[in-house]
Amino acid sequence: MDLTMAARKKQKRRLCVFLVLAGVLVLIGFFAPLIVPNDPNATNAANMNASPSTKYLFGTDRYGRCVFSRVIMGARTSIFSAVILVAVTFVIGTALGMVAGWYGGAVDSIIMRIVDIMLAFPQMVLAIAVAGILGGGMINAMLAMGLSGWTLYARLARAQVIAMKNEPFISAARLSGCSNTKIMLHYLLPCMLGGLIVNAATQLGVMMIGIAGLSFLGIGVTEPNAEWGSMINQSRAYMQLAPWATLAPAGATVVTVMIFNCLGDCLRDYLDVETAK
Amino acid sequence: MSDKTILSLEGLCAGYGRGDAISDISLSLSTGEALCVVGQSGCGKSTLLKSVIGVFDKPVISAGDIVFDGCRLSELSQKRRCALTTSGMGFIFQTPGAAFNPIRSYKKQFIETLKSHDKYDAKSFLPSIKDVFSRLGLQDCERILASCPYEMSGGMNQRIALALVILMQQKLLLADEPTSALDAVTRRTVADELIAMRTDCGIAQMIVTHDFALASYVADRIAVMHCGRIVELAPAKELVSSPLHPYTRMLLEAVPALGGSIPTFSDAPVQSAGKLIEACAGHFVLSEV
Amino acid sequence: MIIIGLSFLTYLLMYISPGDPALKKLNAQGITVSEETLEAAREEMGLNEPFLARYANWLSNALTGDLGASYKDGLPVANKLMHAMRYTLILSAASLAVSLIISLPLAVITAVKKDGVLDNIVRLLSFIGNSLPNFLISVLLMYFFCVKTDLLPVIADESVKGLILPCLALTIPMCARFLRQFRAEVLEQLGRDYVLGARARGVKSSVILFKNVLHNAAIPILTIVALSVGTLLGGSVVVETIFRWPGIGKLVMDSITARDYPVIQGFVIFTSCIYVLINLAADLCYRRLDPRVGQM
Repeated sequence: MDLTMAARKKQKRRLCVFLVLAGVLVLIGFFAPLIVPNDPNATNAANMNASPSTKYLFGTDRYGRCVFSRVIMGARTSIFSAVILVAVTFVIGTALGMVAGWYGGAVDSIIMRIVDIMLAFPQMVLAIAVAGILGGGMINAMLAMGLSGWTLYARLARAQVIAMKNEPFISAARLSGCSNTKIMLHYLLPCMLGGLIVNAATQLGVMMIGIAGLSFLGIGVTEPNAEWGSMINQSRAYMQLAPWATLAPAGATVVTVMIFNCLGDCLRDYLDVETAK
Repeated sequence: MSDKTILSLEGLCAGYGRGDAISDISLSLSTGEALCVVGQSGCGKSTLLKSVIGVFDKPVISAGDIVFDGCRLSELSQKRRCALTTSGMGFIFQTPGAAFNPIRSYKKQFIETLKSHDKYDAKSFLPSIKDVFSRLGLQDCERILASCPYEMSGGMNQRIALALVILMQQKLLLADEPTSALDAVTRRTVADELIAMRTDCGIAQMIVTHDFALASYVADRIAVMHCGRIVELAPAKELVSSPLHPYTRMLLEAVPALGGSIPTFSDAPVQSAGKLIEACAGHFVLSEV
Repeated sequence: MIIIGLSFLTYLLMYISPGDPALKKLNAQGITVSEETLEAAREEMGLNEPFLARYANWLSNALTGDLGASYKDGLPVANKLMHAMRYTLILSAASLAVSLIISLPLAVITAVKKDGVLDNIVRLLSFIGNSLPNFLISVLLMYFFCVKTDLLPVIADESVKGLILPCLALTIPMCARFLRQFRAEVLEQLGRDYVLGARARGVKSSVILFKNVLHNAAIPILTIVALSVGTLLGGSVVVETIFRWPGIGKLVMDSITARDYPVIQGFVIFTSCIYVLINLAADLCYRRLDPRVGQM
């Protein structure tokens, strides 16, 4: 028993570490305008492609803009768009999935047919097409990613609701006169929240990569707004002259995605043990 | 029934890393003899079986020795040891059929088991299987062989597993709760088959169970385990009719009878230290020295 | 049913695209727009008919393999896609093959020797690979092999040498995912009772591993591979654009830039059909591998 306790303690510690790291990232994103040492959009023709210095930590890009400041500002775009996107798809998907599972019948088949259709598209293919047709912009990119993103939660929530529907505690709630909404919100939702949140956490990294990918292709967040994907795309043409302008946002992307992926894994391990016990 | 000893355990201790789950187990089994090991869940019954077969990573034997078919197992290399035990001992799981891959046909799995022990012979395979199946009262040999374990009922799966033990001409059967997942009728069938295996084929059996009814029906001798030790070991009838150890008495009183109430089991601590002492001929009891 | 929904949605996609299709077509062709040419174009494209009639028309054409004509050069979209598809097929098949060749054996080895040195190394690498977006890998590969060392061509020509980098860019993240998922599947199978049972029966470990564990793990592995085709198709857009590999990914990006909507539409329906067909094929394979599937 000591062994499992020790393992659990370790899991908890790891979870805390990554929660703190993710929190720091979110804070950086939130306070980005206050942190940046230079104006991220100020061009400076006299100081183009400058190598890293104390004033410009990661050097400057083709227009003489401070790469460090742009990376920090990019954190805001990347992290917030991913978090908001996951949150919105999570809420919509869970709600639809629960409704489908709870009421069954026609509602269920309509919602699930839509899910089936969305699943028939490869996610990035659909996102690229939608973003491409709608044109650039962060909202459009998020819309493109979210279009199929919600199906994951819908399927999970529906499956869980159907599994729990005939449990005695649900029947009891029904017999004691709880309304449908109340049963769903107070009885069903708390039981399945853990699993759904773990999935949402693992989706954070996926969405971040997706949005960065769209921006990289030039159909997501566009200039002059700072976003890591588009920064990498812009700077790769003169990578020989100013590798820092590519490597800094690249590093930022990798580190951020890694932290969020780790967070998802830790959360999964932690909650799994919880349910197993 | 010959008196040849097939298996003997000499002060066996084994566990899962932290302390021993079973300690100081000594007993012996002759050809064609059936020994039932009875006890509450968690008393170390299954650990005992697993350490005898010795192919799993755990439990680890920490002291004592096993002599199987005249070979002292501790003197063999791990590989030789596994080869010896797996070809000479059959192992039956609690969940019927769980020991077989659910989605591959019995035929394939039988053949690969026989091949692993160089006992496969394409010509005699089918006739000998038919012979074994008919001895166990299994009809439709070909259909069974072509089926997968997932298609079969629990009782069927358990009987097919027994058939493989006979087919492999194994000398000892280790069974972990072979009937606890079966209904009353199938349970009787399997129990009768266990007896038939013993009398017809001379296969010795060590059966772990918590079911006193099965134990007294099938076994020649019964061993009662508690907290990883054998507290009493005696011929089946004698143990049931005149138990000596207080724990055995408690267990026997806890057996439910049809029409009566479900008896309670007092959790009073019983002494589980000391030495196994022969109280009268063939009847051993754990007593403090 | 799914195909119809798919096509409807794709059609809708075009419908919601901002602007007048006729105007866009004329713009794409570089014709000066006047009121008359616009009206003529509208008539020719059937834009004056109601939405559903137009959809039915488009669908019946699509079913016969006619996905309309490109705005830009008037060539049939289907032909353009088929032509580009050859390149994408080569690239995807190569990446998928390389990924499987690397990740399958490694996943089995690491699962069998769990927590060994190799397992830890592979787990770390696959974790890093999982966090790397494919565009980043492409750019980094380019940096090291083309800019720094000049070993391989920046722009992929059709030779094998040109295939290496785009193939690697698709393979690395896919390998990382495969390794992680395959390993988990094999591990799960290894923990099943039938493995214990086979060991207790003294079945050779090679037989347990190759005939039993891999047989049972093949079903989820097949699902993973079939689903990864979607990621592969999406990823090829990025990679083909970066390395200028003339596949459908590059075609669609060029069409997005040129606002050539029929091509985008054709691309979505085309790739989705491939994706659906591959997953259907995987479904059929399950029946062979797992007799339980057919009966459910």
